[in-house]
Amino acid sequence: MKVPVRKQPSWFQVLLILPGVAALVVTFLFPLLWLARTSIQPTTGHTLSLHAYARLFEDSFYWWVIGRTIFIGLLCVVITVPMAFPVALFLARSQSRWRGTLTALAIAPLLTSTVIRTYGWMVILGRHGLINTTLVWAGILAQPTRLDNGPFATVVALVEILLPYGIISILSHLSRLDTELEQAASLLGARRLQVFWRVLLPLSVPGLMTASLLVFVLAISSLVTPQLMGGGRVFVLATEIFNQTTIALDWPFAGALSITLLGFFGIFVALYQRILQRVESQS
Amino acid sequence: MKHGRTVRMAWHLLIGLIYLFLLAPLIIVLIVSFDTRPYLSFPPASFSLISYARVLHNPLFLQAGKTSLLIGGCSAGLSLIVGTSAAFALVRGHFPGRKSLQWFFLSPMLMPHIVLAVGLMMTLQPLGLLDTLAGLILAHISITLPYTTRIVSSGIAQLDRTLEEAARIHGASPWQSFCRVILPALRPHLITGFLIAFLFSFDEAVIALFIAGHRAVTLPLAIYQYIQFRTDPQVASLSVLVVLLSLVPIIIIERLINLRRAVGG
Amino acid sequence: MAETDSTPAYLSVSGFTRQFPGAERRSVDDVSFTLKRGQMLTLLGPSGCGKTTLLRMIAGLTPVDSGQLHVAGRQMTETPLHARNMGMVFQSYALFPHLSVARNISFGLDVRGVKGEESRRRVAELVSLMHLTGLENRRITELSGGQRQRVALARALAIKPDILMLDEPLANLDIRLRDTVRTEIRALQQRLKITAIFVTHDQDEALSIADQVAVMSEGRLQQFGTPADLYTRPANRFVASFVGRSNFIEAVWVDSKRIHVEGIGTLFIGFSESWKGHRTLLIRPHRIRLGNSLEACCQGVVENIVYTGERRTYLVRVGYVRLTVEQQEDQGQPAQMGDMVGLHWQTTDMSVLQDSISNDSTSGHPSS
Repeated sequence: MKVPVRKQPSWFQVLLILPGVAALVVTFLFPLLWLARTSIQPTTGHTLSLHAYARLFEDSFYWWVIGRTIFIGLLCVVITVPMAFPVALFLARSQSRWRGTLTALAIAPLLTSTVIRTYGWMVILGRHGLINTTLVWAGILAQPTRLDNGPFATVVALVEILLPYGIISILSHLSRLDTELEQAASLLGARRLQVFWRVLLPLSVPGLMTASLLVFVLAISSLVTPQLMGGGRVFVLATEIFNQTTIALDWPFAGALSITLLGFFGIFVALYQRILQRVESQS
Repeated sequence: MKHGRTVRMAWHLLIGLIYLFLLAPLIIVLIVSFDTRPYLSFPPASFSLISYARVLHNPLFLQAGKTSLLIGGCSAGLSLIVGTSAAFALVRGHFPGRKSLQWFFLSPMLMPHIVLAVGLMMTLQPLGLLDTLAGLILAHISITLPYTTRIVSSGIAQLDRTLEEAARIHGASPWQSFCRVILPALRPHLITGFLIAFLFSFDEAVIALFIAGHRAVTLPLAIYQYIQFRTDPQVASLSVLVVLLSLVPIIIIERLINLRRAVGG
Repeated sequence: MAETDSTPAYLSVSGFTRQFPGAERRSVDDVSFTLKRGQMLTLLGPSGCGKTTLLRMIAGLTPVDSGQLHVAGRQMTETPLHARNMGMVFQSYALFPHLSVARNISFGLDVRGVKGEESRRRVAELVSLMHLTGLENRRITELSGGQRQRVALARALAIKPDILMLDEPLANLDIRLRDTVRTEIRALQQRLKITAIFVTHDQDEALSIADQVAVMSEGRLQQFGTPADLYTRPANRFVASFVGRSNFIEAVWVDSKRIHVEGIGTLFIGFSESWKGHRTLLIRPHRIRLGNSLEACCQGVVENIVYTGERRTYLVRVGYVRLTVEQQEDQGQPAQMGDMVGLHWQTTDMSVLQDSISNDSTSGHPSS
């Protein structure tokens, strides 16, 4: 017999939420449905067809693109997460009075433009950029080489761009962990490294997994960085989608590519949830 | 003891290097922006503010700046109004399907922007909204609405309900208690919601690449198009200005409710 | 007594001081004491008195600004955490959620490289000792509060600690469980002859479990002694009021038969030892008897009566002073509100406090 103390009239709540629902339907839900609809639109006639998907999966080039996309995504995860972990650990356990500032400094790049940060990497890796100049000056290279386009440059820039996401998701997990667990481990005789391996790392796994998923998903759907730094040599699903929509103007095919990307996205989210459940029910 | 000190120093060095890596592109862009040579090169040959002057006299960049501010302001404002109203219903409402609606309001956060961009392009094209301010504003509402809704929701959830009850008991009408008690209490969250939405719109490039680019050009788009063909220091100066402009809201957010919580950590 | 006095100190804390950065006063201020092997010490005090900080300083979890720590003759002040061999039961238990009950218990052995049969035997020993049989492979989240508490104790005992520390270990337990667990911990500690430190804010808990009690207030050690010492010979007003209920009166020694009490007048109670000026005297409420006015020390009017079944508590106004008097339910005729009653007690029912914490302005000797 629970009686809500104050129940506002329900029409009022509908009125409150209606603009939001309408906005999301128009700008989010409908575009996605329309995208799916377009991907099965025939070039001629009126019946629906899967020819765009057939073309996609029959062409070995697109299999290669898909493989390439996933490879770059995984590479970004493998580099970004191990870099984000120490920073998050440092920020979560630091007693320094600079902790707040350092945390903000690690997250703030997330709110600056990807285009600008990619541009920064073009300056660093470019033919006359920081790295080349330094290497030539040090006598390691006789001639500057092109570092600023291709898969290497793309991955370097992506890692830097995605690092704040990794830091923030690991940090939010770590700050929920009780520091007494580490103290208990030390008192029981564990050295610093043992505390790390036996307590901190196992307890961080869910945070590391969330970070991995986030980085992976953002990496495989990033467009600006592979487009600018790929030098036309990095073919991933995102750049392919862009080319098909803006250059080839084959919208059904672009739609099919997008839905495929979304499909991989879904598969990895599902996989993540399965593994996370496993991890949490283990031990 | 000495061993402990060495380990500690190595650890701090590692953290410092990662920070350096993280901030390297922004630092480098800042340094290069003072150069005068017409091509991209490091280190700069000279230090001058000439390229900043050029940026401020470049009609293309000025127009893009206006467009970006307009789109950012409009989409953040609309997103805040719609999101706040929805947040009240989502946090305090009693209606079937509230949980699924909460999820629905957050779902655009999980959507890859590129997929959303293609969908938006295909939707806006028949409506004649491609390459228009209205189209960009609509598109940016979809990516910012989850953030405004979530930030304001967390503010509402933290509100002390007895404050309102006290206001009502002391004779305030529902509307008065809303204006005099609830809104002032929510102010930090409302401002943060607006600023986060503004920043996401202001820095957004992927969706803009698909649905705009000729008549409606935002700053990130202008930079993107510029560096595809040229790499002179002018674009570095522009970038510095854009980052500085983003820095103001970032600092305000950090002061108000802390950046980490605003972004969602 | 003489026999135990000759045994050397096992744990010795001297001059422990800690001031947290930015704090206005010291959390722990020049605390010194010694403890013998196999004794149980309780650190007692109100919240914020520094007892937990003191415990954490001994454990090495909180840095020591100044002071020395010796355990079994070894200087331990600078010893790193992992080399101290101290067992600790945290208030939150701090059990590792990713490890099973057995792996939690064996954690200290695992990190010391104790493996195989030896480790298994020790875990089995503790599992049966702590009545955890059958729970070895459970996850921590599947355990009840009482079970977690026992796992935490088992984990601390597994390393055969030089000192066992318990930080309010009963605070998170159901009220009904507390008494039994307390008795179990005490029995276990005595059987295993472990030197232990137990932090609590509950005076009953502190007195009933301990060999020695350290009473703390505002970072300072107020008194260190046996539970009986504390109750019968409290060092100051703070200890007296914190341990048990008390009446305080301010008195001047007149001669060996009389004292003069402020607000009451002259009482015919003799103290052989004289003192100069005002001293605080303590009378426990249950040591005062109500009776007829004739042979009483003094007489007063009953202003309030609180009946709690086992006893009646009277508030009696004597002159300008109010005294609390406790009578057992079956003890004598109950008085009524407004009755004029005689109060009876003897010299031996009173103790003269050595120094008083200056809560009031009259006895303002700052404790050294």
